[in-house]
Amino acid sequence: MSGVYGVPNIDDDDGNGTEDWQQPGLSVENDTIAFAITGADRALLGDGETIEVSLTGDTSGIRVWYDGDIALGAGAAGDSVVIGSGSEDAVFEVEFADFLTAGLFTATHLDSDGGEVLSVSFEAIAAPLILNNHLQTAEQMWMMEANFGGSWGNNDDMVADMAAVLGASMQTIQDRTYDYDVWVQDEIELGTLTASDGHRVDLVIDSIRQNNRRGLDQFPENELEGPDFARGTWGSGGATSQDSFGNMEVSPPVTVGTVDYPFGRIYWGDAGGRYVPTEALTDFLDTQLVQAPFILDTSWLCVGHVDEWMSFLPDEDAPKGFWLIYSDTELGYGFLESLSASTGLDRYRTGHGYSTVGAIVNDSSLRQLNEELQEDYIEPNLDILKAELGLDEGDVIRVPAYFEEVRGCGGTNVALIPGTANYQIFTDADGTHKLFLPDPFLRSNENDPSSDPFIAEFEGLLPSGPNYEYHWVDDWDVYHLGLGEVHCGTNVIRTPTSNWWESARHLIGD
Amino acid sequence: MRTFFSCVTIAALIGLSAPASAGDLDGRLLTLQSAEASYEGTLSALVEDAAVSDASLAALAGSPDWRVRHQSAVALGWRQNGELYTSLAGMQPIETRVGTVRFTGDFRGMPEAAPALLDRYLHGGEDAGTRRALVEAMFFTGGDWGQALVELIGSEPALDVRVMMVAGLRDVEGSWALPALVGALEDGSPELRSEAARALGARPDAATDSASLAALTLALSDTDAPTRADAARSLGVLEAAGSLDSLESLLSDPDADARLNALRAISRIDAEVAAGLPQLDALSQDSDGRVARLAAKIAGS
Repeated sequence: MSGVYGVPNIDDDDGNGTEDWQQPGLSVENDTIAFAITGADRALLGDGETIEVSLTGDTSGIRVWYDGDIALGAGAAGDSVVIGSGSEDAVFEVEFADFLTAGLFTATHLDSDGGEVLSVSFEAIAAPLILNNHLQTAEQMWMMEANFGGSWGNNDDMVADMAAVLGASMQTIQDRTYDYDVWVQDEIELGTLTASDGHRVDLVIDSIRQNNRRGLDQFPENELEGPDFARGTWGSGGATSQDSFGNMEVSPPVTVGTVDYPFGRIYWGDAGGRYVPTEALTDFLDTQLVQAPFILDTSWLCVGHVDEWMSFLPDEDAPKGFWLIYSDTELGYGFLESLSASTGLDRYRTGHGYSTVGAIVNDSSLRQLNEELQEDYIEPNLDILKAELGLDEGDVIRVPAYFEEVRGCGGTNVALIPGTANYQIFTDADGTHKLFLPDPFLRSNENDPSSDPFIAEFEGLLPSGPNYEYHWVDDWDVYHLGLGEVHCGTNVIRTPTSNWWESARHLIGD
Repeated sequence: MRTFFSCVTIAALIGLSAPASAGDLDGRLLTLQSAEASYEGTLSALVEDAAVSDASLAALAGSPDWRVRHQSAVALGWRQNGELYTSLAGMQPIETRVGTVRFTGDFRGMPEAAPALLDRYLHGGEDAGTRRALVEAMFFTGGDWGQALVELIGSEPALDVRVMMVAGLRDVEGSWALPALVGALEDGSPELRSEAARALGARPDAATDSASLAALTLALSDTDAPTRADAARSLGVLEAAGSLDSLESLLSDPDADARLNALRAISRIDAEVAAGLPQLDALSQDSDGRVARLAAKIAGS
């Protein structure tokens, strides 16, 4: 069944602080979608013949405009519109109140006596919210320029390095404006709403972490929200770390059994008890249907986010078009043991209390911890990912990783050597995949990344070629020591991909 | 935030300096330590006091009393390393991803920063979050702070800060560390008890300390499930053979973490004992997947 596929009119085209659906007939409105009884069809009508257009379904959530008035649906005086013969197109503008609001239009050709000659029905559905995944082309990256003064930490080098790569595609925000809250990934989650006429509305989910007085509270309002950029918050009250959006990610498109998920599947972390994302948001995402969410166990992590140990990387040559980049502590220890134990690690001496590679390798308590984490959490989570995403081991690139307990965080953990899987990816329109990864500084000479065996090892595991650029940036003071990495401090606006009304229609139901 | 140089100047102007002999310097430092509202002025006077030589202050670095060591180091620090001290007094913490605050930057690996951080903790009038961050920052200096924290645990009002203090005792040297952690296992706060249980497991010297092992074994019966679980893990890490029977009784604990850690601890202490556990079949069907997997692994090994 073909139909009319629009966007819910939830943005604020006139910038007056009120959602547009609540203001019928805005002069600047651009979020309706049109269909027409064409002049050619009308010209075929005989004397006294008409076409009657009616609407059923969720009529309270749909407005149909005709000739400048509300003709059908919410606020309409009648329940049908009668079109007579003529030569002009009779154009209907359809406006939706909410995500996935659905109705059914019926156009009935009536003869001069009112008898039915022919009837045609077609559906009208508002777009679901589709959250972005790492395979989509990137348009713009956001991060904060943070300088804590003196020698107490800044990300100047990181910002400069990334700006040199991304140019105008990189947008920075100022630390003082947003109270030095550098966790741009955590404040917002980005997605899109698309219509069959090509219209696009971006949507930013504004986290309830702001309720804990986090500095980026006004970032989405100030920098993102506006015409064709809607903002929504689901939930209220005090937030936990699980309400941050490093804890909400989306897989690439997958087929699970016989079910295609052309926009991937959403996943988030559950750390047990009250340490779960707000139910208002997870319930909402469940209702969006096309990215059927599933849950991973993040109870072993201090921050408790799903971006801390895994990510996805596009690769046209991979079995499914992407790789799951996945932390493996056993691999990590094998790699460290291949290095000279006397390799000096100045960053680790001051940052973690390990002055050499040998000091890490020979810390039996740390090794035991990493063995436990791999066995109790990392592998079981991989089993969940394989089952929920239809993956097998051939879709996984395991990368060396190490975790350590965070003091004063209830026996939970964080990446020791910068969580390299916690990277950000920016794919240009020309298909170049630019990865921004946390510099591991696993070397004696801090100023010479080319001498870093971890970088060489990691790049050797990942795909290479002209489509891949690996940029290792210094996120140490501001992000790594703040219990995050590059991904946590950045966020990316991405281009929507296929047409949901075609590729994901099977997931929406009747 | 304190601006110490101005205090020094003001103190000198208003004549707060008092003559002091080397003989009563210990007492003067102890008096300074307990000063509250008058602390900055009194310290300023000491720093400016020409009668107190650098050598006499440095000589107190080996004092058995942490308060004397601390105050002499602070006075000397302001004299010899004023720029660092001023910077540390004004240093702002970053907000971590989990919402706590933390200090980063060049003080890490600088033992001489520890007294300045401890002084800010003691006299800076900071909120609990910043005090917690100051305590954590001391861990990374390599300086002298452990004994001070042992004494301060009892007077610190904020639980989060006390927990961080206990966490810091996992890898400091000093005969007072283990007794302090054993004492923390009897604290009224379950968060503090579980942190102490974990900290003991991270100290190799606890493996040969009968009081530590006894306290951990006793903690297997704690009313708090995380404390039971953490005590079990630590006994396993410490390979405490004498705790095997107690650990085995924990295999039927209602808490999955406790069962998991007890089973893993037994396996670490004696793999043969673990492989022969009569509970293995039942545990391999445990409702918690981690327990079931570990039991199956032990049974199959």
